[in-house]
Amino acid sequence: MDNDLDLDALLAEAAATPTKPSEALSARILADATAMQRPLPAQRGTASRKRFGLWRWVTDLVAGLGGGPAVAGLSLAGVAGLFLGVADPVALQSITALLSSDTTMVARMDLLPATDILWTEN
Amino acid sequence: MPRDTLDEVSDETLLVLYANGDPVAARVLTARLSPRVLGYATRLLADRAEAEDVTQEAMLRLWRIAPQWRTGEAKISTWLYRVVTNLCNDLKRARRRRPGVALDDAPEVAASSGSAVSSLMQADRMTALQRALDQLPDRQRQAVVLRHIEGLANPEIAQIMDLGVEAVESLTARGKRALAAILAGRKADLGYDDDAEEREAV
Repeated sequence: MDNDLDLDALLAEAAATPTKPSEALSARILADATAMQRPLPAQRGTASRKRFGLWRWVTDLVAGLGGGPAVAGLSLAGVAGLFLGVADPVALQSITALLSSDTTMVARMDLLPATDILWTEN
Repeated sequence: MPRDTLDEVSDETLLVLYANGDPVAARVLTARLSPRVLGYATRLLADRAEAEDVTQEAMLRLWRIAPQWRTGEAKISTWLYRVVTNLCNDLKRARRRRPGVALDDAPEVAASSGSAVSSLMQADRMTALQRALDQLPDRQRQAVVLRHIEGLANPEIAQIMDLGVEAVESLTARGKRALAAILAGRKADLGYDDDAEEREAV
Protein backbone atom coordinates (compact mmCIF):
# COMPACT_ATOMS: atom_id res chain seq x y z
CA MET A 1 0.00 0.00 0.00
CA ASP A 2 1.72 3.11 -1.18
CA ASN A 3 -0.55 5.66 0.40
CA ASP A 4 -3.76 6.17 2.38
CA LEU A 5 -5.76 6.76 -0.77
CA ASP A 6 -5.40 3.09 -1.74
CA LEU A 7 -6.43 1.99 1.74
CA ASP A 8 -9.45 4.28 1.53
CA ALA A 9 -10.34 2.72 -1.81
CA LEU A 10 -9.98 -0.76 -0.39
CA LEU A 11 -12.16 0.09 2.62
CA ALA A 12 -14.73 1.76 0.37
CA GLU A 13 -14.79 -1.37 -1.77
CA ALA A 14 -15.37 -3.46 1.35
CA ALA A 15 -18.17 -1.11 2.42
CA ALA A 16 -19.82 -1.53 -0.98
CA THR A 17 -19.59 -5.33 -0.84
CA PRO A 18 -22.71 -6.55 0.94
CA THR A 19 -22.67 -9.56 3.20
CA LYS A 20 -25.74 -11.52 2.22
CA PRO A 21 -27.23 -13.76 4.88
CA SER A 22 -27.99 -17.28 3.72
CA GLU A 23 -31.60 -18.35 3.36
CA ALA A 24 -31.10 -20.75 6.26
CA LEU A 25 -29.94 -17.91 8.54
CA SER A 26 -32.86 -15.69 7.50
CA ALA A 27 -35.24 -18.57 8.17
CA ARG A 28 -33.73 -19.10 11.64
CA ILE A 29 -34.05 -15.38 12.45
CA LEU A 30 -37.66 -15.26 11.26
CA ALA A 31 -38.52 -18.42 13.17
CA ASP A 32 -37.22 -16.73 16.33
CA ALA A 33 -39.22 -13.60 15.48
CA THR A 34 -42.41 -15.60 15.06
CA ALA A 35 -41.84 -17.52 18.28
CA MET A 36 -41.28 -14.32 20.27
CA GLN A 37 -44.14 -12.35 18.74
CA ARG A 38 -47.57 -11.73 20.22
CA PRO A 39 -50.42 -12.07 17.68
CA LEU A 40 -51.98 -8.96 16.18
CA PRO A 41 -54.84 -7.43 18.23
CA ALA A 42 -57.12 -8.14 15.28
CA GLN A 43 -56.07 -11.80 15.35
CA ARG A 44 -56.47 -11.93 19.12
CA GLY A 45 -60.06 -10.61 18.69
CA THR A 46 -60.97 -12.98 15.89
CA ALA A 47 -62.07 -15.77 18.22
CA SER A 48 -64.43 -13.55 20.18
CA ARG A 49 -65.85 -12.05 17.00
CA LYS A 50 -66.64 -15.55 15.73
CA ARG A 51 -68.70 -16.16 18.88
CA PHE A 52 -70.82 -13.08 18.22
CA GLY A 53 -74.56 -13.75 18.72
CA LEU A 54 -76.47 -16.18 20.90
CA TRP A 55 -73.45 -18.30 21.82
CA ARG A 56 -71.48 -15.23 22.86
CA TRP A 57 -74.47 -14.08 24.95
CA VAL A 58 -74.58 -17.49 26.63
CA THR A 59 -70.86 -17.56 27.37
CA ASP A 60 -70.98 -14.00 28.72
CA LEU A 61 -73.93 -14.96 30.94
CA VAL A 62 -72.13 -18.04 32.23
CA ALA A 63 -69.05 -15.96 32.96
CA GLY A 64 -71.19 -13.33 34.71
CA LEU A 65 -72.80 -15.94 36.97
CA GLY A 66 -69.47 -17.18 38.17
CA GLY A 67 -68.46 -19.81 35.65
CA GLY A 68 -69.44 -23.37 34.84
CA PRO A 69 -69.64 -24.88 38.38
CA ALA A 70 -71.80 -22.04 39.68
CA VAL A 71 -74.17 -22.36 36.74
CA ALA A 72 -74.37 -26.16 37.23
CA GLY A 73 -75.37 -25.70 40.89
CA LEU A 74 -77.92 -23.07 39.97
CA SER A 75 -79.42 -25.32 37.29
CA LEU A 76 -79.72 -28.25 39.73
CA ALA A 77 -81.49 -26.07 42.31
CA GLY A 78 -83.89 -24.84 39.60
CA VAL A 79 -84.74 -28.36 38.43
CA ALA A 80 -85.32 -29.51 42.04
CA GLY A 81 -87.64 -26.57 42.69
CA LEU A 82 -89.57 -27.26 39.50
CA PHE A 83 -90.01 -30.92 40.48
CA LEU A 84 -91.33 -30.03 43.92
CA GLY A 85 -93.79 -27.58 42.40
CA VAL A 86 -95.15 -29.83 39.66
CA ALA A 87 -95.03 -33.30 41.25
CA ASP A 88 -98.33 -34.89 42.52
CA PRO A 89 -98.45 -34.68 46.37
CA VAL A 90 -99.80 -38.26 46.44
CA ALA A 91 -96.34 -39.39 45.70
CA LEU A 92 -95.29 -37.95 49.03
CA GLN A 93 -98.04 -39.53 51.14
CA SER A 94 -95.99 -42.59 51.89
CA ILE A 95 -93.32 -40.37 53.28
CA THR A 96 -95.69 -38.30 55.39
CA ALA A 97 -97.42 -41.48 56.66
CA LEU A 98 -94.13 -42.82 57.72
CA LEU A 99 -93.23 -39.65 59.54
CA SER A 100 -96.65 -39.29 61.30
CA SER A 101 -97.66 -42.68 62.74
CA ASP A 102 -101.31 -43.72 63.26
CA THR A 103 -100.96 -43.70 67.01
CA THR A 104 -100.27 -40.05 67.12
CA MET A 105 -103.20 -38.10 68.47
CA VAL A 106 -103.79 -34.78 67.03
CA ALA A 107 -105.98 -32.74 69.29
CA ARG A 108 -108.41 -30.49 67.56
CA MET A 109 -109.00 -27.39 69.51
CA ASP A 110 -111.47 -24.74 68.79
CA LEU A 111 -109.62 -21.61 69.43
CA LEU A 112 -112.46 -19.28 68.48
CA PRO A 113 -115.81 -21.07 69.32
CA ALA A 114 -117.77 -17.83 69.27
CA THR A 115 -117.30 -17.47 65.57
CA ASP A 116 -118.91 -20.79 64.73
CA ILE A 117 -122.20 -19.08 64.25
CA LEU A 118 -120.76 -17.17 61.36
CA TRP A 119 -120.02 -20.37 59.44
CA THR A 120 -123.39 -21.96 60.10
CA GLU A 121 -125.63 -22.06 57.07
CA ASN A 122 -129.29 -21.77 57.72
CA MET B 1 -49.53 -4.10 6.59
CA PRO B 2 -48.19 -4.68 3.02
CA ARG B 3 -44.43 -5.07 2.71
CA ASP B 4 -44.10 -2.36 0.04
CA THR B 5 -45.58 0.14 2.48
CA LEU B 6 -43.23 -0.91 5.28
CA ASP B 7 -40.06 -0.60 3.18
CA GLU B 8 -40.01 3.15 3.78
CA VAL B 9 -40.91 2.99 7.47
CA SER B 10 -38.22 3.66 10.11
CA ASP B 11 -36.63 0.82 12.07
CA GLU B 12 -38.23 2.05 15.29
CA THR B 13 -41.71 2.11 13.79
CA LEU B 14 -41.16 -1.36 12.39
CA LEU B 15 -40.13 -2.61 15.81
CA VAL B 16 -43.28 -1.15 17.36
CA LEU B 17 -45.35 -2.81 14.63
CA TYR B 18 -43.55 -6.09 15.33
CA ALA B 19 -44.24 -5.75 19.05
CA ASN B 20 -47.92 -5.20 18.23
CA GLY B 21 -48.00 -8.45 16.26
CA ASP B 22 -47.44 -7.38 12.64
CA PRO B 23 -45.80 -10.40 10.94
CA VAL B 24 -44.52 -8.43 7.93
CA ALA B 25 -42.55 -6.02 10.13
CA ALA B 26 -40.25 -8.84 11.27
CA ARG B 27 -39.46 -9.79 7.68
CA VAL B 28 -38.66 -6.20 6.70
CA LEU B 29 -36.49 -5.66 9.79
CA THR B 30 -34.65 -8.94 9.14
CA ALA B 31 -34.01 -8.05 5.50
CA ARG B 32 -32.83 -4.56 6.49
CA LEU B 33 -30.72 -5.26 9.58
CA SER B 34 -29.37 -8.80 9.32
CA PRO B 35 -26.93 -8.11 6.41
CA ARG B 36 -25.35 -5.26 8.42
CA VAL B 37 -25.19 -7.30 11.58
CA LEU B 38 -23.76 -10.30 9.76
CA GLY B 39 -21.22 -8.18 7.88
CA TYR B 40 -20.00 -6.52 11.06
CA ALA B 41 -19.83 -9.81 12.99
CA THR B 42 -17.95 -11.46 10.12
CA ARG B 43 -15.38 -8.65 10.06
CA LEU B 44 -14.84 -8.96 13.81
CA LEU B 45 -14.75 -12.74 14.06
CA ALA B 46 -13.37 -13.85 10.68
CA ASP B 47 -15.56 -16.91 11.03
CA ARG B 48 -18.78 -17.11 9.04
CA ALA B 49 -20.45 -19.79 11.15
CA GLU B 50 -19.77 -17.94 14.40
CA ALA B 51 -20.85 -14.67 12.79
CA GLU B 52 -24.16 -16.27 11.77
CA ASP B 53 -24.72 -17.49 15.33
CA VAL B 54 -23.98 -14.00 16.66
CA THR B 55 -26.37 -12.49 14.10
CA GLN B 56 -29.16 -14.84 15.12
CA GLU B 57 -28.54 -14.15 18.81
CA ALA B 58 -28.46 -10.36 18.31
CA MET B 59 -31.70 -10.44 16.33
CA LEU B 60 -33.27 -12.70 18.96
CA ARG B 61 -32.40 -10.12 21.62
CA LEU B 62 -34.02 -7.47 19.44
CA TRP B 63 -37.25 -9.49 19.18
CA ARG B 64 -37.15 -10.05 22.93
CA ILE B 65 -36.71 -6.37 23.82
CA ALA B 66 -39.26 -5.13 21.24
CA PRO B 67 -42.22 -4.79 23.66
CA GLN B 68 -40.08 -2.77 26.11
CA TRP B 69 -38.27 -0.66 23.47
CA ARG B 70 -38.28 2.97 24.51
CA THR B 71 -38.80 5.05 21.40
CA GLY B 72 -36.40 7.94 20.86
CA GLU B 73 -33.71 6.80 23.30
CA ALA B 74 -31.36 4.99 20.89
CA LYS B 75 -31.17 3.97 17.27
CA ILE B 76 -31.94 0.31 16.75
CA SER B 77 -28.89 -0.14 14.53
CA THR B 78 -26.65 1.42 17.21
CA TRP B 79 -28.12 -0.90 19.84
CA LEU B 80 -27.58 -3.90 17.55
CA TYR B 81 -23.96 -2.97 16.79
CA ARG B 82 -23.35 -2.70 20.53
CA VAL B 83 -24.90 -6.12 21.18
CA VAL B 84 -22.84 -7.65 18.37
CA THR B 85 -19.66 -6.01 19.69
CA ASN B 86 -20.25 -7.48 23.14
CA LEU B 87 -21.16 -10.92 21.79
CA CYS B 88 -18.03 -10.96 19.61
CA ASN B 89 -15.87 -9.86 22.55
CA ASP B 90 -17.28 -12.75 24.61
CA LEU B 91 -16.68 -15.21 21.79
CA LYS B 92 -13.11 -14.02 21.26
CA ARG B 93 -12.38 -14.32 24.97
CA ALA B 94 -13.72 -17.88 24.87
CA ARG B 95 -11.71 -18.56 21.72
CA ARG B 96 -8.49 -17.46 23.42
CA ARG B 97 -9.07 -20.17 26.00
CA ARG B 98 -9.16 -22.86 23.30
CA PRO B 99 -7.02 -23.52 20.18
CA GLY B 100 -7.21 -20.51 17.87
CA VAL B 101 -8.52 -20.15 14.35
CA ALA B 102 -5.79 -20.39 11.73
CA LEU B 103 -5.26 -17.41 9.49
CA ASP B 104 -6.22 -19.55 6.50
CA ASP B 105 -9.67 -19.96 8.04
CA ALA B 106 -10.45 -16.31 7.35
CA PRO B 107 -13.68 -16.15 5.34
CA GLU B 108 -13.57 -15.86 1.60
CA VAL B 109 -15.66 -12.79 0.87
CA ALA B 110 -17.95 -13.16 -2.11
CA ALA B 111 -17.53 -10.67 -4.92
CA SER B 112 -20.63 -8.68 -5.78
CA SER B 113 -20.59 -8.25 -9.55
CA GLY B 114 -18.47 -7.80 -12.65
CA SER B 115 -16.56 -10.21 -14.81
CA ALA B 116 -15.37 -13.53 -13.45
CA VAL B 117 -11.72 -12.39 -13.35
CA SER B 118 -12.42 -9.06 -11.68
CA SER B 119 -14.79 -10.78 -9.26
CA LEU B 120 -12.07 -13.19 -8.27
CA MET B 121 -9.63 -10.32 -7.82
CA GLN B 122 -12.14 -8.42 -5.75
CA ALA B 123 -12.68 -11.50 -3.59
CA ASP B 124 -8.90 -11.79 -3.16
CA ARG B 125 -8.73 -8.14 -2.10
CA MET B 126 -11.52 -8.57 0.42
CA THR B 127 -9.85 -11.67 1.83
CA ALA B 128 -6.52 -9.83 2.09
CA LEU B 129 -8.26 -6.94 3.85
CA GLN B 130 -9.94 -9.35 6.25
CA ARG B 131 -6.64 -11.00 7.08
CA ALA B 132 -5.08 -7.59 7.70
CA LEU B 133 -8.02 -6.59 9.92
CA ASP B 134 -7.56 -9.82 11.88
CA GLN B 135 -4.09 -8.67 12.86
CA LEU B 136 -5.34 -5.48 14.50
CA PRO B 137 -6.07 -5.35 18.23
CA ASP B 138 -9.81 -5.92 18.87
CA ARG B 139 -10.70 -2.32 19.75
CA GLN B 140 -8.83 -0.89 16.77
CA ARG B 141 -10.49 -3.40 14.44
CA GLN B 142 -13.93 -2.53 15.82
CA ALA B 143 -13.32 1.19 15.41
CA VAL B 144 -11.94 0.89 11.87
CA VAL B 145 -14.73 -1.42 10.72
CA LEU B 146 -17.47 0.75 12.24
CA ARG B 147 -16.00 3.97 10.85
CA HIS B 148 -14.71 2.98 7.43
CA ILE B 149 -16.76 -0.07 6.43
CA GLU B 150 -20.05 0.39 8.27
CA GLY B 151 -19.80 4.14 7.69
CA LEU B 152 -20.85 5.28 11.16
CA ALA B 153 -20.04 8.67 12.68
CA ASN B 154 -17.63 8.88 15.61
CA PRO B 155 -20.29 9.82 18.23
CA GLU B 156 -22.30 6.72 17.28
CA ILE B 157 -19.18 4.55 17.45
CA ALA B 158 -18.46 6.05 20.88
CA GLN B 159 -21.91 4.90 22.02
CA ILE B 160 -21.38 1.41 20.62
CA MET B 161 -17.92 0.99 22.13
CA ASP B 162 -18.77 2.82 25.35
CA LEU B 163 -15.92 5.29 24.83
CA GLY B 164 -15.45 9.01 24.42
CA VAL B 165 -15.41 10.48 20.92
CA GLU B 166 -11.73 11.41 21.23
CA ALA B 167 -10.82 7.85 22.17
CA VAL B 168 -12.69 6.63 19.09
CA GLU B 169 -10.83 9.08 16.87
CA SER B 170 -7.53 7.90 18.32
CA LEU B 171 -8.42 4.21 17.91
CA THR B 172 -9.57 4.73 14.33
CA ALA B 173 -6.45 6.66 13.36
CA ARG B 174 -4.10 4.12 14.97
CA GLY B 175 -6.03 1.23 13.46
CA LYS B 176 -5.92 2.71 10.01
CA ARG B 177 -2.18 3.38 10.26
CA ALA B 178 -1.59 -0.20 11.43
CA LEU B 179 -3.74 -1.53 8.59
CA ALA B 180 -1.77 0.50 6.06
CA ALA B 181 1.49 -0.84 7.50
CA ILE B 182 0.25 -4.45 7.28
CA LEU B 183 -0.89 -3.99 3.68
CA ALA B 184 2.19 -2.00 2.64
CA GLY B 185 3.96 -3.45 -0.33
CA ARG B 186 1.10 -5.82 -1.11
CA LYS B 187 -0.45 -3.79 -3.91
CA ALA B 188 0.13 -6.61 -6.39
CA ASP B 189 -1.31 -9.17 -3.96
CA LEU B 190 -4.37 -6.99 -3.59
CA GLY B 191 -4.89 -7.13 -7.36
CA TYR B 192 -4.75 -3.41 -8.12
CA ASP B 193 -2.01 -3.92 -10.73
CA ASP B 194 -3.99 -6.78 -12.29
CA ASP B 195 -7.05 -4.55 -12.41
CA ALA B 196 -5.10 -1.93 -14.28
CA GLU B 197 -3.81 -4.53 -16.73
CA GLU B 198 -7.33 -5.86 -17.29
CA ARG B 199 -8.65 -2.38 -17.95
CA GLU B 200 -5.86 -1.81 -20.45
CA ALA B 201 -6.63 -5.12 -22.17
CA VAL B 202 -10.31 -4.15 -22.48
